[in-house]
This record gives sequence, C-alpha cells and structure tokens, in this order.
Amino acid sequence: MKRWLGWIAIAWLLILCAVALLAYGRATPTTSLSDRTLAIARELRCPVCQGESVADSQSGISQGIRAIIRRKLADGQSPDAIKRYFVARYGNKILLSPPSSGIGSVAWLAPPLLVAGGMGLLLTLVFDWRSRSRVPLSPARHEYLERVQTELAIGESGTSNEEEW
Amino acid sequence: MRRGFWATAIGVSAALFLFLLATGFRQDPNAISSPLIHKPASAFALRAIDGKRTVSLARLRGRPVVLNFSASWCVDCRIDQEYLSAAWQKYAGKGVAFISVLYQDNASSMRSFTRQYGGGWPILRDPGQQTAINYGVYGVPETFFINRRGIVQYKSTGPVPWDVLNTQVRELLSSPV
Repeated sequence: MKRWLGWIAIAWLLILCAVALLAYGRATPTTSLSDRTLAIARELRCPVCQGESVADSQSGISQGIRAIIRRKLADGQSPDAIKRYFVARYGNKILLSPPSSGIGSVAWLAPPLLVAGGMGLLLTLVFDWRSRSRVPLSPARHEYLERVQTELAIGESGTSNEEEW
Repeated sequence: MRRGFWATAIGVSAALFLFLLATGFRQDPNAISSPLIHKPASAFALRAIDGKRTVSLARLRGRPVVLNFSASWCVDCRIDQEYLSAAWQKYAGKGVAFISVLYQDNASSMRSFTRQYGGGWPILRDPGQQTAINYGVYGVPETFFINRRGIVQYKSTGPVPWDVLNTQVRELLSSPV
C-alpha cells in the first residue's frame, strides 16, 4: 500500500512539473527587438575586450556589432544566420561558446568522454581489486593466518603470557 | 597483461601530450587568422576625411589594393604609417591603391598624424565601424592586401614589416586581372 502511495506522489510531482513548464512557456511574452539583439550579442565575444561579450561591452566596435544584429533581425534574419555572418568575418573566436560541429565539437564531447573514461577506469580498478582478493591462499599463507588468528584469540581471552615480552 | 595495459595507457597519454605541445608551439600566439583570406573582399563606399570624395572598392577593381585600418591614438600605427608611406611612394606609381580607414578616431587627429608620420593616400571615415566589422578587424593597425580580382590575398595584424609589405605588394602586382 505504502509503495503505491509513493508511486502516486511521484506521478503527481511529474504532472505538476509538466504543467508548470507548459504554463511558463505560454506566459513568456514575445521578446522585443532589443531583447533579441542582446540575446545574440551575449553569445558573441567583444573583439577588442578581454573576456567580455558584445552585450556587456561599451566599446565602439561592440556598439557597431549590436547595430548590425539589430538591423539584421529587423530584416527578418535568423539568429543562426546572424552568428554565421560574424563567424565568416572574425572566425569561430567571435563565439563565446565553441560551435557544436567540426573541431569545436571536441570541446563539448571531451568532458563527458573524460568522465566516462574515468568512471570506466575506476570500475576496472575496483573489479580488479575485488577479483584479486578472491585469489585462494597458498597453504603456507593459510597456515600463517590461522596462527595469527589463534594468537589473537589467546590475547583476547587474556591468557597470553605478557611477562615473556 | 596488466603491465601491458598501463604501458599502453601511459604511452598514448604521453603521445597525446607531445602532439598538443608540438601543435601549440608551432603557432604564433600573436597571429590572428582571418577567415577572409582567399575570399572576395567586402565591398565598401566611404567618404574621405577631406569630405570631397567617396572611395568605393568596386571602382578599384583591376588594381591591387592595400587597405589599412588605422588610428592616430594607436602607437603601433605610427610605425605602420611610416612603412606604408614609404611603400606608397614606391608603388603608387605602379598602380597600387593605398587606402586607410579610420578606426574610432576623428578626422582632425588623423590629419595631424599623417603630417607627422607620412601619408597622401585617401583616408576614409567609417561610421559605426561597419567596414571594420565587415573585415573582422580585432584592433589597429590591420592591413589587408586585395588583388586585382578583389580577393583578399593576405592580412597583417600589427605594423606590417617592411619585407612583408614589399613581398605582398609585389605579389599583388603579379596577380592576374
């Protein structure tokens, strides 16, 4: 019974999340031209600044780039086409995030691949360690361990002759 | 078996590391590559700072063009201007068009700059840096060498060394129409 209640609670939670996402999607107003300009400008690197986006920079060149974005959006061009326009002039360096195709895809793929590789290595080591612990003991080692256990048992029962030490 | 695995893993990692170092050290950290090389130069029609004429790239088709982005406040542009001035005196008579485009600067400052460091070729205004953006300019000075067919042959970032300037202009002159 309790198990069923748990499943129902999870189902309700999922339904609530889906409804909230749908409501958020519908409630988001159509963004203005300025907002859309800034959204693209945030993805572009200011060519004359140090680690600043075109949206944040007040340099003349960034103002010029924002003006071009605005004009192209007003002309009906898509954000991707506008980004391609700047990449064609400045190269991929103008993008604050590396592209998901070509050599730029390495930057996206490398972290999950490295994590997966690290996990694989860790699992291999753990299995290796566990299988090594299952190796049967040699008769000499078995006899030695038995002796150690016997001595320990004697020590715990307090019958050891400490004066000998 | 286990030793073989670890030896391979260390070997592959070392090879990758050496490859990255070899690739990195072969690149000039100051060089800024341009995707515009071997592509048609972006068209422009800009007014000169003397206010009398408009210079358009389309009208220069058939002539080699040395297009320089410069500013009077830029220290490196002084060296660049002196080299360009010498090259202009040497090659202008051979049909090479020299053009400078103002980069975040005003006409009066540029006039006194050219009086001091040389000049004589058209200097153009670039409202809103639209032409600089079209040429993917990162900073000044930057110089583009455009051949007779209107194709960007070479781009120089920083002052153009005298030997590079000569080599590139000679290549422009030898380019077919």
